[in-house]
Amino acid sequence: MKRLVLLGVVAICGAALLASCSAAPSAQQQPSTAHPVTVHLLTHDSFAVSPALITGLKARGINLQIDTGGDAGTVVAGAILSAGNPSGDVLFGVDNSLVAKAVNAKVFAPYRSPALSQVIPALAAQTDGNMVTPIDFGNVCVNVDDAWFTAHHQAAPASLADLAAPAYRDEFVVEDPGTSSPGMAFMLATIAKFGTNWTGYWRHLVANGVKIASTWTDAYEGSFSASGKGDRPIVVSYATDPAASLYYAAKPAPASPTTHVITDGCYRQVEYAGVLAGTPQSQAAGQVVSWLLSPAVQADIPLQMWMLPARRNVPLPKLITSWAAPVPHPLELPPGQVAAKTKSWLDTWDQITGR
Amino acid sequence: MNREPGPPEPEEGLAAHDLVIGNRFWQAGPLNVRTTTGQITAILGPSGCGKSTLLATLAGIEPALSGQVMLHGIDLTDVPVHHRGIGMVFQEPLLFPHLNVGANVAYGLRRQGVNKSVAAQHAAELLDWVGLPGFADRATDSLSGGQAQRVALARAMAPSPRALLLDEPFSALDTDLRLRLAGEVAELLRSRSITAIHVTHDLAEAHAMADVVEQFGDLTAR
Amino acid sequence: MTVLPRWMRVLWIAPAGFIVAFVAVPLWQIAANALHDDALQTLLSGSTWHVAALAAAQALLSTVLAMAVGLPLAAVTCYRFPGRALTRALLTIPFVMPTVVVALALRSMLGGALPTGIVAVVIAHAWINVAVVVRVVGSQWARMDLGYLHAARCLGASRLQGFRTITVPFLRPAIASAATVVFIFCFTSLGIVLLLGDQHTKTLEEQILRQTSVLLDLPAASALALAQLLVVSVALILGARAISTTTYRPTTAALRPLPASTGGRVALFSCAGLGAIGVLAPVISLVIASVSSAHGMTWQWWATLNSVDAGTTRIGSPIAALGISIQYALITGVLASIIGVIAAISLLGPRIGRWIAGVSILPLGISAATLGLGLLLAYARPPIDLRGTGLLVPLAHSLVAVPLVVAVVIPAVRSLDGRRLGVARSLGAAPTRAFVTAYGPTLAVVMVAAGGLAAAVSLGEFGAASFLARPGTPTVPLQIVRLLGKPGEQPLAAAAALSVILAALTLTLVLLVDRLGRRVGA
Repeated sequence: MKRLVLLGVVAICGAALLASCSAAPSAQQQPSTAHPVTVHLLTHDSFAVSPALITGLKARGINLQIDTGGDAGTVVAGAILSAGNPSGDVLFGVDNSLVAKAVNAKVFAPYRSPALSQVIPALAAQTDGNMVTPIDFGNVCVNVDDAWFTAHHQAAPASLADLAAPAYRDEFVVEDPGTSSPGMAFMLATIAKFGTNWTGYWRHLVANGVKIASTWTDAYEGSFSASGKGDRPIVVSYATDPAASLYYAAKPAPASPTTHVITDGCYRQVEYAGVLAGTPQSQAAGQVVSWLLSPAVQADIPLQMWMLPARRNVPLPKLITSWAAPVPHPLELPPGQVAAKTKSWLDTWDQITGR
Repeated sequence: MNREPGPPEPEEGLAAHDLVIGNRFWQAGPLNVRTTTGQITAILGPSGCGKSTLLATLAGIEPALSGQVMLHGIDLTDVPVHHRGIGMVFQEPLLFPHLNVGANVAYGLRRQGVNKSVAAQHAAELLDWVGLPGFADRATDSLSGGQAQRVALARAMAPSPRALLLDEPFSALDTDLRLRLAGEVAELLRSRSITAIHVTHDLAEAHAMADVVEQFGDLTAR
Repeated sequence: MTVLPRWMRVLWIAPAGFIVAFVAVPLWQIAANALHDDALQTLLSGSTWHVAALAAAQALLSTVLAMAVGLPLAAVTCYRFPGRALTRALLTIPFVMPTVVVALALRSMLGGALPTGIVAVVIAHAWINVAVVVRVVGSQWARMDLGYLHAARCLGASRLQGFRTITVPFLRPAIASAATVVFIFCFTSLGIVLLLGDQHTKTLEEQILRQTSVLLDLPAASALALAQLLVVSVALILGARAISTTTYRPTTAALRPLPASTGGRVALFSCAGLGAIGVLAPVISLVIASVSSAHGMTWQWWATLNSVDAGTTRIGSPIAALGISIQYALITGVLASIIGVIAAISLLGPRIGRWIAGVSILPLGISAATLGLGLLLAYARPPIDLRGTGLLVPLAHSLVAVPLVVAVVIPAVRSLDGRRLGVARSLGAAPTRAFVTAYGPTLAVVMVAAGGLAAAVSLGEFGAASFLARPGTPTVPLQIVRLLGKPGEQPLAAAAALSVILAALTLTLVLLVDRLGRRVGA
């Protein structure tokens, strides 16, 4: 019996060693169909892509393994913790509020995708010295429940300033920027729009009965009147949400969405991908970054992740062109400023809202 | 009763009239029990015949299905256990392990509202009485089986019960000790003139203890 | 006690190794990577300890309420009555469901009327943790020798006095153990606090999440995790002190017949009924949510659960998550029951073994984010890379399940009858053979039951797994959370439908476990 236990221990150790050896290639390989390379893509839980595209990548000798690990922040935090000795090869999903910290922590190795020339000019410049590649973007905007305003014979708000007006008292719900990514984007939008007066704006919002939810789910599914459960007709969410809620409506779907987006005061979130510093397969990892920018993947993004492609001239689904309002002048803050100031902004926000 | 010679006009002690015991699945009776004040009555019967249930019903632990339980001519049938004033010693000593020996003996007195030091003094006297002087501060798990049953007896006697029930209290002990202890306990009980019912399946033990010996099977005959 | 054969006296090495490898090493990795001088400042700062005090007060209130509701229900489960097993299993559902689903269920039921703040958090925590009280205290209560109570009653104790002076001391170890577990759960709560809390219900776990995923300040997060671990350790030590006061030898569990009086029966059935309704009502509201749409009743959400378009990502359909969840649950069940039962057996061995049972509860107090990131650092890159083996998630689940397995198995191990071993030895059996003959059957059944519980925990686990980079196929709770992150009717209804499936699966598993558990008692 004693020997049996010993044998078991040896077997387990052996298995672990084998597993670790088989996963660690001795030298960098040129990906080919004859010798496929496994590339680990670290990303957040919302990542999605059509399986056929992953199969297509396999034909080019890359076996893509998608490792999801919580929200974007957690994934980036994990990458910072293991900078230089990463637990994957490529990271997708670091956004413009997190990217400066990740780059400062030397998470990424430089890589310049040949496809970068096809990217929308405003985004193509955002590479932080070739450390990251913009893949997609989305706008965090104030969403309004039209049905509610029609039923209550009230005019819907049209700007951020309106939300502080007494007419919209107790009608607005926002997410906590300390726990929610759209919440953070909205706080940054107010800072970008009102400058140092942003604290005054928030004091007015609080005085006007703004409700603060910890998460997007809590705000949109719990408090927003358009989702059927809540009693507040104005919420901070994404510009694509009217289109998405039409896409996910009960069949037969209504002809048009019951919500719309205020295009004033939208904050642009940009999502980047980057080759992780220290990966033994930087070459294949770079190919995955370029693959994310390829026309096929870019066209797949809107209905998978409800973000917009960074690449120019990508055909968009009709649902998006019809119902996802274009935002002509999105707000954005420089990533370096965001990285340096987030903590003090959050502390100030906490004080104003009493969180 | 009164089949055996007794004192003239004996005073009735603990008694049962047409008592039916048991539960939904099993019943026994109607049973009739009579005892005399100050005497020890043994009830003899094989294991599993219902002796223990009879004692539990007399004590009020189990409800009577019908009939009456009487003590000194007063009907106790609807009196809850803790107001009956009937003490009981079980097959196992059942000493409370979170209390020391002295606190175990004092337990009943404390429930009567006797203050701690008076109860402790009284407990010490009872421990002297059962032959365990100085045992008050000991833990219950340091006692031998015989010692534990003596403590259980002292504990049962502490609140001065009007009657005492003994449910095969020596059955876990070996034969020699059992008979010796039975004799000793009988002496102790007589010294206090307590009315007692002792059930057992052991004829020798019954005779070592009791003034009167009855067969369980005969209780239904009357 | 030297009931263990010699080779089994070193078995404690297995759980100890497990704890060292999957708790100590990951924690060390985090500390080594993250702890600097700044972190020390966070650890010593007033606001950290202010949050800790708020969380401790909240956890204390939650524990008291869970006890107040759980103790009567624990008493009820000691009686034999039709529907007892079902009631007990139903009460377990809120505990093993992911907190997001609990919140979703409460929301489906109460809608906009759902309050927020300390009252809502305490009620939700109590609702979730009643199961711990019922299981831990109830199983101890069933082992109480009623003779002690009868003896006390004959000595003049009223019903209430008997409860206070005899039952409570007997239950004290179980109550202490349940209270410790509940306190730790509530103190480290994240999901409920996020969804129902306000500024007065902050927990350190919430602060850890903010530092990790918004500020990317891992030194601060590690310092907070350390502060949390300190409080949890204090709670464990206080709990362990109360647990070790046990001196009552429990008998084998025996269900009591129903009380004879009508009043007693009415009280018992209304207790059990209210408990079952309290658990079932939110679940039923989930069922309703999964079949309603803007156009009225519909089966379309259930019919499309198998479709990759059902509001989730095309990584897999909602139903595909079920397969992977069951697979993880099986591995977790085997792993956690082996480790947990060995840890519990160590109680019978040398002194050091007895420590293991206590230490194996520690993972309860480690933040899910810490655990996830720690495992990632330690075992998701060379030299030890477990990513390809699919073991990381079951490992994280086992870490969460082992403390509960230990808590459930310890009473069974304590009640092992030493005389049986003596008989086997006196018949000439060698130490190992004697141990197996005397205890094998009981331990085997306990192990299967514990494995079932661990599997149920794995089915509902969300926290640790969500922080762990793992292969794309999500588990059911992860899939539910993904669905809840999408706007529109379909994702919400599909999440409700998946939650109903999860509840049904859990209920079945717990019923099976209980059936096995009853066989141990017999």
